[in-house]
Amino acid sequence: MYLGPFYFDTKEIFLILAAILVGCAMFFNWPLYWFNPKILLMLIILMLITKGLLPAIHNESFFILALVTIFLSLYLPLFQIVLFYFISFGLFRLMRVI
Amino acid sequence: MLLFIKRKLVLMSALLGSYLVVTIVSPLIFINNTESIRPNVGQYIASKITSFIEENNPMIAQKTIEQQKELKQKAEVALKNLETTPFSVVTKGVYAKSNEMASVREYVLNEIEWVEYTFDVKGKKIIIKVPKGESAPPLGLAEKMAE
Repeated sequence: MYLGPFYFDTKEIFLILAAILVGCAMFFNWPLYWFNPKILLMLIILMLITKGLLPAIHNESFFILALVTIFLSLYLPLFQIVLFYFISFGLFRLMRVI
Repeated sequence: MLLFIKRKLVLMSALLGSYLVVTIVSPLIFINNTESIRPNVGQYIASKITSFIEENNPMIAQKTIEQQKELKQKAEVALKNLETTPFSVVTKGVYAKSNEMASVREYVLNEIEWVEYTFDVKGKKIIIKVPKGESAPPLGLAEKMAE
């Protein structure tokens, strides 16, 4: 889907939808069991930024990293999750996964 | 197929590696999961490594166990020698006795004369009791107790 000069694929549109949903959950105080909406919103923004810099060919590795990061947000504090996300990205690049 | 498996293995090892870095290395560098870096990061890591080696080296661990046993025996002998020595009064409620090896202090809480200091921290009343003659407790202590 083209929005002006920008092209959005389905995953990006779903990510933006997720961001809107989490934003609504925060605004209307909907209970999100186990997950902290602030951390989720932060992660979605980070994912949108990094997704924008990544070619579509690497979608699968990105998907696995996103899933693991969201799962780890249940157990680790926000700073460690953000570190995990960036270090994994760096390692993916170093090991030529992406 | 082999390439696919290799790719997945590399991906998993990258995720595992970064998880280990985040859970083991990052607490050594950053203070309490914040973005602030420890001012003495080099010294801190060195001390952690040496203490880890000391704890896990069987030779050193054995040595420390022997030293602790020796110290315990010495303390027991010193306390036995003190048993016959009578207590002398330091102040009301505080008694002490000592020799060259050890010293024993006894506090009888019912006998001690207390002075009460009342602090008002953010609308919370904090009462701290201090033995008579001692200086007043610092405000920081009351603030800590109010948290």
